[in-house]
Amino acid sequence: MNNPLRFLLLVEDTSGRIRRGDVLLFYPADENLTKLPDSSFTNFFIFESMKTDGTFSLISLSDVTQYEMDFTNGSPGEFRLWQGRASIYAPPPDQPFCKDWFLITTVYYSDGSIQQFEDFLYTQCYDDPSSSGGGTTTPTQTPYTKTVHESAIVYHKYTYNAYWDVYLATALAGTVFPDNTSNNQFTDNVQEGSALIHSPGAGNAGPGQNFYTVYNAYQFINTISNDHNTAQARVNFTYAYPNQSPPVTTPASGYKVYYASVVLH
Amino acid sequence: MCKYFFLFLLLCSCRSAKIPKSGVVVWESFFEGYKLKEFSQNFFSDSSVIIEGKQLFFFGSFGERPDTAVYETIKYSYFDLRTRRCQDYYELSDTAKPYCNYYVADTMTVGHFFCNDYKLAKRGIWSDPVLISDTTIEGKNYKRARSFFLLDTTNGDYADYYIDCSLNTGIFYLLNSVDDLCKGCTAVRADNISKPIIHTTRFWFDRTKLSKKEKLIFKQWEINAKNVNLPLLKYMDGITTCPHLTDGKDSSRLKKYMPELFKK
Repeated sequence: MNNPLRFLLLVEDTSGRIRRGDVLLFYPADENLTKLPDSSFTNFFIFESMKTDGTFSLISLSDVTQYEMDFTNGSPGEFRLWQGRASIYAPPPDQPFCKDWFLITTVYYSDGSIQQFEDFLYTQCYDDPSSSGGGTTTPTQTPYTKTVHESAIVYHKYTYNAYWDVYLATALAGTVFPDNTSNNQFTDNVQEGSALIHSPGAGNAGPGQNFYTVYNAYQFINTISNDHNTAQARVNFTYAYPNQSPPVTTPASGYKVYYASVVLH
Repeated sequence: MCKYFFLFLLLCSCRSAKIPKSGVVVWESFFEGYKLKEFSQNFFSDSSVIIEGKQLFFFGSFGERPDTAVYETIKYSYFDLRTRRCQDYYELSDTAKPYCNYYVADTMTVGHFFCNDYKLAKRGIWSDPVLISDTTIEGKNYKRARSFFLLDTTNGDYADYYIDCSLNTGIFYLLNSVDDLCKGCTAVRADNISKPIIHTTRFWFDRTKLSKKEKLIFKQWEINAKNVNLPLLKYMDGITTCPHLTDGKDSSRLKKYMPELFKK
């Protein structure tokens, strides 16, 4: 890999106090790249896309890799999450605190499908639970709760110069573990709404048009995985072309999976 | 004499073929240039139809614009055209039990057929279809009709219908107002054209016989329709209140019948 571009990511609370910090490394595919394009962090954290090929790596201040994501042609290729799980919950006070470490790899294929693998790496024990994130001891950062508002395109249809997108907005609440964001957990997800957006392309504008589209979201479904690490927001909807001859109605469903380690900052 | 000769020609070109009593009709809808096609099978026997209900599932795990989808069967609807009553099933099996029972007015479609388009509120949206020149596609002759979009004429939007007179499709029709232009023939394809977008809807006979298993299902589901012990709902109430596979409040059914969705 080429030398990385280095960034310090500081997260402030509403009063301006620094709540946590992470080191962000970006390993560009192009060795001549010296600067990330504008809005790269927004694209990464909000849309999980990058205009530049390479690998994003998030490392805690205690020097533990949290996750990495490879990007090719603007889309994610592979997501690798290092996840530590307590070997024994609430160990006796005189016993060391141990964690089983797993590498969870998510592969994104060009046809839109994904595949996930989980590999056990090793067990690590610490005398002091507060140092359980890495090799150096750092002051413990208190876990805190947070709600983030996310929106995602969960449906996309593109024809010629026109496109139809369904945006799904979700509020995700959970607990942030600043020392090790791979332990972040969702406690709640609430859908805030959805909307069909379409481009002003041919035949595609309003009720007076041939390709006028009527969107009807009739069901919102939220789920949180058993381990509370991922949340899914789904919308069932129909889209209809009432002005077409004959009129066509299609039922559809779109969803977005969120990772607590990524979206809870 | 000449007048009678043209009448003879007209009758020949519009002659109806034998109507199959059972079989499978495939419906398809797509945008030209867009890789995803919507399609479904429609099994029929006399005046009963079993419609494969499908749904698009978009996977928005990552990426700003997910452009991929799977198109999965979520239910089978047994529809009796005589009573216009419909029951939904999770599986195409003679042992399956219906989970939804509803009535379909003739201004609604089940799947994509059986709607009386004379009753649709489309007066003023499209001009009355008129016959235009015939065309040949892959060696097969089609009569054609055209309607113009009236709401906005700036693009010159129109719809072309392809009418097949070699096979009378009987109970299946896209638009009965177009079929009525040529008795005994059926419009099997409609192209909605708003340049450069072309959206096509079409259907065809996949086969004109049912398998033994399919016949058995029709027989049993006809009995089920008579003895169904579910409240008779209105069409839209059936869509929104019945325990469909896609009802996420209980994903166990979705997991049971569509496990592949949960692997992605």
